[in-house]
Amino acid sequence: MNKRISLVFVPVGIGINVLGGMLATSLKLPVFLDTIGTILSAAILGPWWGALTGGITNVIGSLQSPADMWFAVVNIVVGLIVGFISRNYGFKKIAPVLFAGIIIAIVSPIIGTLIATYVYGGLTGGGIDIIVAGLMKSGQSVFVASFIPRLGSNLIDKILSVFVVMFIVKALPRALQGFASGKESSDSAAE
Amino acid sequence: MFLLVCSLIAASILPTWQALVCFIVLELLAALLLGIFSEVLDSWKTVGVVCLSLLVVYAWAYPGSTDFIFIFGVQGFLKGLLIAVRLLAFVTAMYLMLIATGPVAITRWAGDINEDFGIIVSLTLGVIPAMKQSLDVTMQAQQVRGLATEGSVILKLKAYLALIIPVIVKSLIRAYQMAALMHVRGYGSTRRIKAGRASLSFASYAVYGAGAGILFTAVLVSLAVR
Repeated sequence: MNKRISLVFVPVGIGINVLGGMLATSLKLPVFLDTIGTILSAAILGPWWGALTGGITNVIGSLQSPADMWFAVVNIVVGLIVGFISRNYGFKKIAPVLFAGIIIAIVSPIIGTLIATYVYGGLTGGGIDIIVAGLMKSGQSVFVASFIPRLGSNLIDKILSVFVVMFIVKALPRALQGFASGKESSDSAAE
Repeated sequence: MFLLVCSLIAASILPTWQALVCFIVLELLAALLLGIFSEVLDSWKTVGVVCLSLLVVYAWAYPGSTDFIFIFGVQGFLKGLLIAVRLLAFVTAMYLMLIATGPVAITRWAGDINEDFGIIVSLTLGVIPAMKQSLDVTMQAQQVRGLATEGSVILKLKAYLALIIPVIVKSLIRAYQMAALMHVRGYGSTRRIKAGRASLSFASYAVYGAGAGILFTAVLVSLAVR
């Protein structure tokens, strides 16, 4: 993919993340849907541009909620995982897309919980705190108590996000699909 | 930005709530000197609920508590207090930087680190409002066509997709046009004139010194407590 296109795709990916998250909140959806831009950038441009999109998203997002800057690590890891999978297997077939979705759905809450436990003490100020408090009271460690409620929402959120991106990628012209069109197609396009 | 990074690392490694309170007082003094004290204090509202929840939940449910006052554990309360004060220190440091530094200065800083990074940051600051406007237009158009945004989760999810996909497609088309514009404006050309880097002023050296001082003190306090 042309470097100029990569440079302008990253801000669009960041915008998709920001607006996606805002729209999910305003529609009161029980999922975040704020990594679609990172996944899209990573699938098309590869792991490094995907990681950059994820990292800058959280830095920009911290203008509204400063403590969220730490969660940039989660978004960066999502970009890297999707980027590497897309670079090797493409992002148009169900198998690699589902694989990417499951991997990031497990890895994201692990890293997210580690950060949330240190920065927020495992709490977020939302309704989920009741479950966390209950699990802590039942004798679970703070990490386990805040990881369990996150895992369920992340599974739905991330798998939904990767499939949304898969449909967007399929709708794009081949010239704009980049790594997502698959290794063989990318190689033949490069030749 | 250097001062912010040093402040965030300092807030992460300071081991006691007393040390963190001293750090917050320093931050507030800096805000007072810069004339942004009330704006920085306002920022505490964003994490107020979380801080209160931390105190109550940790005092009530923290598994390591051994001494209790009524149903609240002392050790849990102190643990909650440490995390709540650390969170306030993070938020204060971030807002101090954000209020004291405008978007132009942030873009210039990014461009000084790497030219392409500067382009990405400046494009992002321009793209997000444009995409927001595009989302508003799409939302109005879809609502006129009868799109329901209330009801079951499935219905809301359908509404989400109906709203976000047109915005993404429009944005990708605009991105393609922006890439063409960059080519027209000479991006990547060896004959392009690049802006020179400004030399560091006394204020810049003072900020670097303050950042290093904060970090050094935090490391010393952390080592002394251990």
